[in-house]
Amino acid sequence: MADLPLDNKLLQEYAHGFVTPVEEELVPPGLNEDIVSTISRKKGEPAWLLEFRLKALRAWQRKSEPHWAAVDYPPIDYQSIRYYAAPRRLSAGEGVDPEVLRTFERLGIPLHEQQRLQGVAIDAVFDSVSVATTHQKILEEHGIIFCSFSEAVRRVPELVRQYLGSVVPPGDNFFAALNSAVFSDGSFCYVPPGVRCPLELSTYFRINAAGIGQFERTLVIADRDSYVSYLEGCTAPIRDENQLHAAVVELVALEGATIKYSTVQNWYPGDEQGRGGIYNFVTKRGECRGARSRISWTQVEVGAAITWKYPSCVLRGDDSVGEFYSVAFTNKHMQADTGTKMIHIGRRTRSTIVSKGISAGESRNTYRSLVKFLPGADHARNHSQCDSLLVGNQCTANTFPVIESENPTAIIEHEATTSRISEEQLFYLQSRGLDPEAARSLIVNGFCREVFQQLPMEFAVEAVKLLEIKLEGSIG
Amino acid sequence: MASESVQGLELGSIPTVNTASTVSAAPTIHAPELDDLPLQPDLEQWRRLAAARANALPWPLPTDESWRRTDPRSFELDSMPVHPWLPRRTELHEHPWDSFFDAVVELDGHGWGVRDRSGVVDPARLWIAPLEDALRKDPALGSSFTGLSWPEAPRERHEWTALAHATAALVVRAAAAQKFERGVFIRIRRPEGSLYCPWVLVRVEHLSALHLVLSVEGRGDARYVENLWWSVGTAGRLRLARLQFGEGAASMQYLRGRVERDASLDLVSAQLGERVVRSNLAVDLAGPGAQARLGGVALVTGQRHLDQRTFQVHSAADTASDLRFKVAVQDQGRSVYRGTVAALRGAVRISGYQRNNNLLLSPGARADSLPGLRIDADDLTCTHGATVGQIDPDELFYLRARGIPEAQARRLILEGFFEEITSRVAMPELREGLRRTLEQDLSV
Repeated sequence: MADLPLDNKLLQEYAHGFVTPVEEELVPPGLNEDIVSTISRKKGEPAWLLEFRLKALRAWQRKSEPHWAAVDYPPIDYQSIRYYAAPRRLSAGEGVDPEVLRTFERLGIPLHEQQRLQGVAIDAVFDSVSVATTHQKILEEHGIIFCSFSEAVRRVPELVRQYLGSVVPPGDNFFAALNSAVFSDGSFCYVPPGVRCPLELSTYFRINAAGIGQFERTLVIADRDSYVSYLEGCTAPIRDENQLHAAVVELVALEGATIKYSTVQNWYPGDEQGRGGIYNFVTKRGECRGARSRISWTQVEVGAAITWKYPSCVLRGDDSVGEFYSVAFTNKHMQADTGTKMIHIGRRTRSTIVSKGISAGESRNTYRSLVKFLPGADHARNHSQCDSLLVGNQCTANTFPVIESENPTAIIEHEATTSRISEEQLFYLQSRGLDPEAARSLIVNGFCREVFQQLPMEFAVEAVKLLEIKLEGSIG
Repeated sequence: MASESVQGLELGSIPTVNTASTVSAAPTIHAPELDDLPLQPDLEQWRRLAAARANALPWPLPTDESWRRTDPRSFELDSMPVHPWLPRRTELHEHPWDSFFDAVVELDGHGWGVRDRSGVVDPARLWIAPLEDALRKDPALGSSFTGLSWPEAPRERHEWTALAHATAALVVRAAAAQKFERGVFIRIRRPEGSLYCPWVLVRVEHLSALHLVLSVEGRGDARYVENLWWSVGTAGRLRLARLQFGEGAASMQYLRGRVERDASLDLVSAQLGERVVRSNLAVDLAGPGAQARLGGVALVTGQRHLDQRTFQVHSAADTASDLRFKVAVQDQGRSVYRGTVAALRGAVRISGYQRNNNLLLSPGARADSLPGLRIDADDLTCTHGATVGQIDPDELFYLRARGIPEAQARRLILEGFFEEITSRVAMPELREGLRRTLEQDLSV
């Protein structure tokens, strides 16, 4: 399908919408055992991993696509998607194509040694492969393994084998099964006991080729009493076709460990008429396996035509903590069905949910969550706060929380509000000389503050700017 | 007697409730036009159509989203014979509460009757009549009760089945601009061992105010499916208390109603009995200025199961709804609450409020809460809240520190928990009766 002309207004709004002219190696469209075997062979994987993939493929074939989410989209032809694409030079072992490096530079992610971002180690994923991972040396000094998933399979197969699929089993759901069968690259991170990771770890996902899907797999393991902060960013070119992104992220926090996982998702959301954009169907789940462990999800969702994503925490260890902070912004014809699950298994487990939905244009924004207390979750606690802000008069905002308690000592509190930007606040700010756009932007920022505060500094600045750009012209 | 015309009406037996996999689990496409069936003077014909509607729908499966938490097999309607159509009687049982009302309506296993205690029962004031008589004399009445279903709260098969097999259909209508000193008491004493389906339609004409209390009691196993419809005309006021007592039956309630321009509804629902209950409450705020205050108290004890569903539809601008449902669960009881506040397109400047508080009093108790907001309009405020927890240890400590024994302290706290709702029951004697029942059932 044709790429849209890039000199239009769209590119101003979505600056990441360019295409990199790079020769790519592609597998034929379609999904079957041959394709899965081909992907596995290209990556030189061991037999057990191929077996894992084939098992997932069979599970996927038995499953049907879920349609309970409050999103509408035409049927996806899974046999017309290419499940693997890689820049040719990279896969031929000729080093990284300069065009690819330039792409990441243009996206603000320099991979050259001298220009690297200080304090952040980045794994850059281009279509189906990891291009480069920075700051490896410093990390190695601390015994931290941070590399592409394919590399991890070669370097630490026993760790991968032990944890892969242990939080999100291959047959967990339709999209997780699909990912488990065809996942290409992604990041792997292992933090050894007692280590506090000195850098922010980051993965940047870029979809470039047309007609492909991206199916990355991320696995983060924080061993006893360790700490890691992980960031994720994503962009894609402007196209009038829909592209599928079905990732799986698994987090494992052992005793006393903390994982902080932040996402700024800015996939191409489609144009004014709702043409094109990424379908973002993602399974993210973390397990607080050990006592006193902590997993914190922070997400800023401003892109993608359709988002279907519920970062969850399984609070198995006693005294473990789960957190979910989310800003979901929808505009134009975007549809987001997002939220979280907090499964309390251990005693005195605690969870916090803060969700902020902003709906503009003709978009649809749904918050959906599950908070479940199992009989053993003595004195567990949850507090949920989910607010929706309506910016347009053609949009829809839904809130569907589910609360299940099987333990009388557990306490759950849930609150939700939906309202429009207050005219009084707008008037107040305008009477102090702010123009309507700036006033609105300020109010929206204030609305999201609780979530932005959770983001690492650079990401928070980025998120505020992104939201400002996205809000432009959406005054209803 | 008019009721003769529908007596012995052959609607065909109720087909077997199919919870096996022979019925396709595929989601059924909801057709709103199938939901509405305007009432017509030929009630017999109407009930045949209702039976056809019922047969066109599948029985729910335990895998259906709305039945995942309540086993539909508890509500197999064919497991008991359909109770025959009730004749009119003149003999009524006495009840201590009778003297608090202007008129008393009683339905039991043998018939139904009305006692006019204040001389107000008259078509020009307070009209209490069989539905077919009412529709024949005033065909326009039917239009007050059309359009009482919405895509999110469609009519279910059980509901249509109950309408087709109704045991009695009674209309209570307050004529325009009427005020009554006390109100109407409808007492239903459901019999044992049958499928018993009362159908009550309440119409409050413009500028009228009516107070209505409906109580249900009964012993032993039965299938009880109630349809309670109301329609409050312009600037009318309806105060409605529905008290569910009883032991042993599987009870379903379909409460649907509309509140028109500048009218108000104040409803208190008390769920204090029966073995397994699924109650559905849907209120449409249909005209500007309409208001609804919806309160619920429930105590779930023993092995009982209570599934409550509420639906606040704001289909007009400048409307307000306020729902507070309080549930205490003890022993191995289980409570499910699912609520929706819906703002339809154009319903601007509305205020929608929904709160569900659950107290778990014993280790085996379980409560699920699914509050929900569906907003398709912009300029509005909608809020919901839900809590699940136990009696606050700090409150308990405070009371005990003042010398109140633990059991009594717990009782006091629970009384306070329900008080927000029970205090809204208008009649002091009823309010006391409700409090006493709540207290008796608590095993603190």
